[in-house]
This record gives sequence, structure tokens and C-alpha cells, in this order.
Amino acid sequence: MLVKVVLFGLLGVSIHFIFNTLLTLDINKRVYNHRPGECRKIEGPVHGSEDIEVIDKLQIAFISSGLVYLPNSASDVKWKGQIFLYDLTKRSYKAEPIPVLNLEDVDGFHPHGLSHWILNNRTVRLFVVVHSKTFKHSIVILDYNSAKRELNHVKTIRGEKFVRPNDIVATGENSFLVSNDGGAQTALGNVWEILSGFYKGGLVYYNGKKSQFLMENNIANGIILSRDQKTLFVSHINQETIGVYTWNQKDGEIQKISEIETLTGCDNFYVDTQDHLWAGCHPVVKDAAGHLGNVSDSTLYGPSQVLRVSFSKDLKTAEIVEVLADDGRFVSASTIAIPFDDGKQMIVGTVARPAIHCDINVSLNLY
Amino acid sequence: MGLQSAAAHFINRFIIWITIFMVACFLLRLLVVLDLNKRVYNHTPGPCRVLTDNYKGTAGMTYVESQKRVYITLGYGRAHDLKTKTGIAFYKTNRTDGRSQQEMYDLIEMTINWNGYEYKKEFIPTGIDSYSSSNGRVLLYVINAHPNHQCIHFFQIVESSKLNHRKAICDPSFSSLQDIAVVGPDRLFVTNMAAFGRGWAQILEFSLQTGQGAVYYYDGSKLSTAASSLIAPTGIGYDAKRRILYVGSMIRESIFAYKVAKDTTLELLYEMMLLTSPIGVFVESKTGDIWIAAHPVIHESAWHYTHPENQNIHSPSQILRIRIQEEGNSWVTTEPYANDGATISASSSVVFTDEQMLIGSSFGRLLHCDLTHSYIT
Repeated sequence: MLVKVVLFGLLGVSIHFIFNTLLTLDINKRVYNHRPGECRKIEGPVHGSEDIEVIDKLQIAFISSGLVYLPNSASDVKWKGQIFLYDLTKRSYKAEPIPVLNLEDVDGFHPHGLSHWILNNRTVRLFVVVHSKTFKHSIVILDYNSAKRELNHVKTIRGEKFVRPNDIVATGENSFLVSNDGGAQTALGNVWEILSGFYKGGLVYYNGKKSQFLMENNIANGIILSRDQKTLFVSHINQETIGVYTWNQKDGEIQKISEIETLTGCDNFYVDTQDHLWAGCHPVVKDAAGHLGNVSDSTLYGPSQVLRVSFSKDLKTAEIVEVLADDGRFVSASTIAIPFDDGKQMIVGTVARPAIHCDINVSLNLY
Repeated sequence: MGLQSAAAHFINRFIIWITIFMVACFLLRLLVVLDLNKRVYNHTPGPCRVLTDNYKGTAGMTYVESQKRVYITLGYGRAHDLKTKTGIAFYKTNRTDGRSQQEMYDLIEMTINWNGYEYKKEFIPTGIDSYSSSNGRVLLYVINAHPNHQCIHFFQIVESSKLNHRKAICDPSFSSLQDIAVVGPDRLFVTNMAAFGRGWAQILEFSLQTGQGAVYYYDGSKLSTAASSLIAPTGIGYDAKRRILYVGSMIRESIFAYKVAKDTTLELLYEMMLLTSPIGVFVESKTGDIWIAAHPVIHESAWHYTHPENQNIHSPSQILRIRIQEEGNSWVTTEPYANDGATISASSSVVFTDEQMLIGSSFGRLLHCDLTHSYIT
């Protein structure tokens, strides 16, 4: 009798686990294409445009390319890590690679998340999450020389708290927040981490001298601060939510305000001048996983989605508009979307494919 | 004796485990069908506006090219116990006929001459289609969704805004009529969604996915079954140029394409998985594109249909446009419109013409959108 109860209990747990796995994989979802206007691919970055950082004053965008993520082995990495420069004032649809000088490890430079800070002398300082071919992690600080159009290495920061860094947001000349999007260092370990729900990622604050955990045993992918630097937005990508937190820089503390359910895996964020949050998302997990498992296979692609999230005054609720959706044949596995030109244009970056540049010809205000 | 009892014991346990396995599979399948991990993200193809909020339902639409009019059925909500006026109205799509900006968005309600038909108070129109004959006569065919009086009504349009009732076809096999597609004068296909008309019996039927829906064909004098054992057939549309009949399946979340033979028998060509529940189907005669009005999240739709009087219980709306390529070997799907239900709830019909799109809903508004940029991959 007791054996039967235990067996039925196990059966129930099994059904629940299988069901959650099926829903997590989004087996019943697909993407229906639509675009906000004419879109074209941006020449230049061929192996990824994972993060894009716009410098408003200079009207330029930095694009990180050549991401290495949970590689099986270093020999699988046959592409170069680069940072591209895109002029937002011209419709050139072409981004130029810019040299990164004085790096400690040139071959091991595979940039991931980007952020920037304007120094007192008006220099643009770029903060870059970097992985090596063997998936070692570091934070690289570069200063942009606009006259020569090159990046100069300033400092490389490593630390045990940078477990698996993904995105970064600068909070000062030498301070930043970094997200860890998990703890596993191999693809198989990552799958187990996601399925079991025992997440080991989180959020780290580096104050210029040392690091501290602000969030542990969680998943954090894209992170960004509001324009007034008081609110932190965190993408809990595997839980398909956006976490909203207060950010207190003086005390180095965060406090949770709300968690917005998106039912799609939002990646990196951008906050526009109207305080809308823009996100590049992965709406169908199974296709994104297939694509990211073998990024060199051009027959595999992941669906793309660009959302604009508008928060209520108290930051507890949000309205979501879908600006772009693509099944992956045009833009594959979108990670970041940034509007510019007063919201009339937009650039969208991807994990391992070219970025695209779109016009926005439809109204995004529905209510 | 021992051998017999051992064999019986084994068979008994085998049957128990098979039953458990089947129940587990049923539960998993049911849970996946409910779309618990889906939601809709709002977007529009251009400027939109509400044409009417006065009827609890604008569930059926058809376009008459020769008149440049869209005919709309009103008041489907009465079939779900809502208090509302019912009827048929039309919208003029011609924007260069001299009307003012305000008049351009007017709906014109039609008067119906019932010619002595005794059940006119039980008229709850939903699916609608039209036939334009060569002599200029325009005939309308309308599904009556009244729970006690499911019929197909035949009308003729006279004097611009009047309808003459010609006859009604009622049959005991009509239990859940949804939509209608006309293939010739008084020749039409209708979808019967379920064996049970409404309520918990229908919900149970959908949950078990027993496949008791059907497509019926009326040849002008006799009714017959054209396709049976379908799972919740809903929207139906006919491509006259290519002689293809499209039938939507709400539970399978797919569209079936049938070739209509000269004797009007149906030959299944292919099934197109949409992964969203099609409710209304419109076929663009020029291009052959299929437009779908869909319910993308089934559990929210089910809740909305169970409580249609509650204004706070929405159902998402979705419009898809499918361009068939290579004679049905492949297709491209775009999504011109999607809404979480706050603007328009439970979209159930769609018409596209002259860069304009009309979206009807089961219990609420009629929406008009301009497709200023029709982008398709």
C-alpha cells in the first residue's frame, strides 16, 4: 500500500516535471513575422552582434561581435572577437571594425556585454565583458579615442565573483554592475542548471576596488539602469521575467520593487529617452537552444523578438508592445534593440549573426 | 492453476499501467493545449480606430468586391445570453466616393424583410458569406447561431440597404454552426464545430478532443457531410480561383486545405500548423493570401467565453496573413495585428481590402486599421 502511494507520488512528480520541461522548451509556440518598417542587414559583424552600446552625444554605436559562450573546446572557436563602430547619422548599413590596442590577450578577446561612461575629460570609457576561447572571464576597460577611432586598453579586472558574466552596466569611472547568467561552465552543466532550477547566477557590484554579491542563486542576463541611475532592470531570462529593483549606489544595495512576467526570454536591455525599456528576446526556447548549440550551422536559426516595455509610475506593472518579430530567417536570436532618431529608427543585435537596421513607421502607442 | 493466476495477475497489472500511461498522456496533452506559456504582445500595422461598440458581437464578415462593401453580422453575444440587438450592417471601403471624414467610418444597418418567416426573433447571425451573380444580384448567406434554432439563412440584397429573406435551412445535425463558405449560387460549405452546442458538455468534448466536428455541404436542395471527424472546425474560406477550401481547427491550431473537385467532394491537400486557434478565415481573391482571425491563448479565450458579460475578462486577439508559395509546399506567415484584449477581445473575423483591415470580435468591438506598410518577408 505504501509502495503504491510512493509510486503514484513519483508518477505525479514525473508528469509535473515533464510538463514544466515541455512548457519551458516552448514546444507549442512559434513566431509570426512582422516588422515596423523597412529593415536591412548591417554589413561588418558576421559572427554576432550580441550587445550594442549607443553613445548619444556622438551618435555612434559600438557593437560587440565574435562571442564565445559555453564552448565545447577552444578549437571550435574559429572566429575573431571584435568591436565594431556604426554611425547612426548615416544610413550606410555598414559597421567598421575598430582596433583595440594594448590588450593583454589579443586572441582571448571575445566581447559580450557592453556599457559606457563619460569621463570628466569627455572621454568615452567602454566597459566590456570578455570571455577567452577557453571560457575564462574578465572585465576589460577601454577608452575610446574619437580622433583616431580606436580603443585603448586601460585595465583588465578578474575575480572569482565573476562566475559567468553576461552583461555590464557602468556606475562610475571605475565601478560597475555585472550580471552572472548562471554558474555552470559547460553546455551540459548549463542544461542541468536550467532544468533543475538550482540557479547559480546573480548580480555583482564592483566599486572600483572590490566586488560584492548583490544577488545570488538566481539568473541575471541583461541589466541596465534607468536614466536617473536609481532603478535597476534585470532580465531573469530562464524565468521569463524582468526584475525591477531600486539601486542605491552610495550603499551599494538593491531592493526589489516588482517582477514583470513576459513569457519570453528577454536578453539585453536599453532605456530610451522616454523611459521605455527595449529588449531583444528569444520567444521560442527550443529553437534558440538549437541555434545557440551550434552557432556555425547556418541552417539553424532562432526566432527574434523586440519588445518595448512601458512601466507604470510605481514600476509595479507594465504594458508591452512588440515592435518586431521574426522566425529567424532574417534576424536570428535577437539580443538587443536600440531606438534612435527620435524613435524613427532602430538597430537590433543578435547572438551570432549580423545586426539589422530598421525604420519604425508604425505607432507604438496603442492606448 | 498457479500458472493461470500468475498470467491473470500479470494482465491485470499490465492493464493498470497502460491506463495510467494513457491518463498521463491525456493530462499532458490537455495542459499543453491550454497555452499556459503563451501571451500576446501588442502591435498594430498602422492607425486603428473602433467603428462600433454598440453590439455584443461582430463575429462574421464578408467582402463584396462589386459593391466595395464589407457585410458584418451583429449581436453574436446573444447566443451566450448577452442582451444585445442583432442584425446585419455594412461598411463601405471606397474612400473616394465623396463622403466626409466622419461619414467614412459609418456602419449602415440593414433592414430585413422576413417575408413571413416565423422564427425571425431567434435570429443570431454569426458566419456570413456572399455570392455575386453575373446579372448583378448579390446574395448573402448567414449562419444563425441561436442555441435552439441553428440554421443557414439565404438573403438577397435589394435597394442598397435592405435584405430580402429567401429561405432557411435547418437540420438536426446542426449543433454548433460556426462559419460558411459559398462556392456557387446556393452552393455552400458550413462548419459545425462540436457535437454539443454549448456549456460544459462542449468543454468536455474539447478537452477529450474526440473530433466530432464536421463540414457540411449544401448543393441547393440537399445537405450532405463533406468532411467528418474534425477537431473543432471553425473558420472556413474558399479560394474560387484555385478551387481550394480552407478549414480552421481551433483545438489542433491548424488550417486544413482541401481541393474542391468538380462534384464538390473534398480532397485533403495539406495541414498547416498555426500554433494558434483560427476562428475566422478570409481569402484574398486576387493574391490567394489567407487572413486568419485567431484566439492565440486558449485558456484565456475559454475564460472569456464562459464570462462574456464581464468586461474585465479579456481574450487576446490576433490577425495572421499567410502567403502560400509553391502550390502549398511552403508558406510565409506574418502577423499584422495582435492585442492583449484591452482594445479588441477575442478576434473572430477579418477582411482585408484596399490597404484597410476590419477586425470583428465575438462579443464586442469592430476595429478598422489602415495597413500603411504591408511588410511581408
